[in-house]
Amino acid sequence: MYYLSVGVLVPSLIGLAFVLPLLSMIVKNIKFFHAYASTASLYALVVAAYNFSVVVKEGVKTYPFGGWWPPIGISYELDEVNSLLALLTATVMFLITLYSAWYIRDLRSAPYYYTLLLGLEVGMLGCIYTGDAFNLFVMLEVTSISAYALVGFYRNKPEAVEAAIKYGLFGAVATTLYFIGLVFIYASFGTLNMADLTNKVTSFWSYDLVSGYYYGQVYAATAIALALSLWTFTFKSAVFPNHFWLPDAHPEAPTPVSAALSGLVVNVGVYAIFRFLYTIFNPFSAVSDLRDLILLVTLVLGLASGLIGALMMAVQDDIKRLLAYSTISHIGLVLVGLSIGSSLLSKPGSQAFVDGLTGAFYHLINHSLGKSLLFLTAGVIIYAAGGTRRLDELGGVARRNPLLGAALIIGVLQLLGIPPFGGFFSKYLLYASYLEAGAPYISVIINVISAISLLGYIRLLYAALFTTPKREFVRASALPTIILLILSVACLITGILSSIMSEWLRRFVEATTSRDGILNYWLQGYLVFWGR
Amino acid sequence: MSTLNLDPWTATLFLSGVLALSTLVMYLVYITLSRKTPQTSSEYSEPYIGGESASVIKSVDVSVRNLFWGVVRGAGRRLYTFLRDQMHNGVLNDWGVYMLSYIGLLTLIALIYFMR
Repeated sequence: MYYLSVGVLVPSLIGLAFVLPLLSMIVKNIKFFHAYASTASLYALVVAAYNFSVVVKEGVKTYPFGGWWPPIGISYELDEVNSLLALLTATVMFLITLYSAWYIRDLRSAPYYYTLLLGLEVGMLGCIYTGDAFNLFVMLEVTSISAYALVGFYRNKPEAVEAAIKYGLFGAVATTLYFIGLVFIYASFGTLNMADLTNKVTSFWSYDLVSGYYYGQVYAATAIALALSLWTFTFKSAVFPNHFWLPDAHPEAPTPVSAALSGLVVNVGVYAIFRFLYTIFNPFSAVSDLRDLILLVTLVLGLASGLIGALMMAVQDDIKRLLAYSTISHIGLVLVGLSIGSSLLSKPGSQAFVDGLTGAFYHLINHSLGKSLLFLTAGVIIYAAGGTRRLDELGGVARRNPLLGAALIIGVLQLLGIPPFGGFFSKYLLYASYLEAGAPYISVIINVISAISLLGYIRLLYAALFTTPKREFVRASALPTIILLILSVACLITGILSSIMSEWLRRFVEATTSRDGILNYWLQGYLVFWGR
Repeated sequence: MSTLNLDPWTATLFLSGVLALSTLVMYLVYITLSRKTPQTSSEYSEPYIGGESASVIKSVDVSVRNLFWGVVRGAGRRLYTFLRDQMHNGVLNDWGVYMLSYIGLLTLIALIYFMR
């Protein structure tokens, strides 16, 4: 019930991150900072793995900070879904930190880079672990501020500074809107604890929300709060039309950061949408009809995102910009899966409902692995090609290095959805869920999105693999190659073990989104402390 | 004749394995039978199509890359003019129009929900 490992990870990692600038005043050897950041990231991975194993064995776990019981204090609450996403985040971030040791090997500002990179990891883990809507705002800010600074890390490049300013400007608007949404929530319910909110919004004992007269217009306030929150979360996950910042920001960041931004940071927005629309404002809540409307909006936006991302991929000249548009397309597909929960499409617990959500989370995992692999491969390709990001100038660079070529092909096949890679099975689940829901036209659009994105991926493969090398390329060291190999194997495993993975995810989704699961989230996150 | 009943996962993995094996066999056959030195002839170096002289065809660059751009730009010129030059033009004001329209739509839904 009272799990220290749930609470200790984020604060201790913040400490480890912010000690770095101080240490840089004493230690001058850059190798020390590479080792320090990798160890800190490994520590996060070990604790996240432990937390995941505990949750799988024993169920939901909560940690109240400072001994203040919820809803008075801030608490972290872990269930199957967020503990799995945290494990995914910590694993990929560990590989990205290791890769950074090669990528910024001679950079004098390495301590600051690692401070921001660990700050980014802390922010993401905090967003995923938190059981408090206000703490989610704080952790979104931690993630965002680290991300803005990392996008503008090459401050002598005007494009990077411009991208960071644009990202920061709209990002500040987004988090402010979420904050205003929280004001509406607190004014209506008197709490920001997610478990407590879940109880107050859900009719566990068949009562409606108390609204009107002295209590204010709670329904209207909830509707406005949800509208503002959804806008923020779709901004963070770069869903159309809140995606404009991403193709500018992600390519300008250092390549390991691009991998983290495209592979992991966008997941935070998707997770927040899931937590808000499937736990707090769940299908059994007093505002389920509003939720249905909002899920229809997310469905349309997800499809538009998928199509626009795929279409824009086909006309890119910049390898990183092409991958950035691919992120928009894939997050759109994930959002399509999350939208299955509208009662106009499926009933809670039905085959379509569970398949859609399972497909969404499965695709999120596949996308994180595949996109990190492709960005990290792109980093080695760009290095080998002398720093150019233009596809026309890559001139068959991956052909000279078979391992690099293999990693590129595996990443593309994973995202394209070709068996036996995991991307195929997650897309299949998304496709099947809408067939079961009686909406085959959505399934057709999912296939059309995949088909259009093929144009972009072919361009990438053609430029890096199938053109004749015209000059000598620089060869990268063993470290990045090993990391690409690990991620390639991970992509293959998500496909080969697809039946086990989809079964696990199905169990997690059922445990989290069922009526009993939602009741348990409230019991473990709130009542259990007061019932002692 | 017996029937093999497989679930979709196993069937997909099985078929992928068969395809991979077939590709490997075809590749091995190809490298065994392929010529070690390229075959050259006058027809190979000077294609002659549709009555035009070879010199005309020679001047046209029909690389895969140009074909790709030809198809994409030809088929979607109007679409890409809108997507690239109007929507994703990098101008903050233009982005703002789409993003604010979206928050406007969400607020409208909230109001409709409240007024119902």
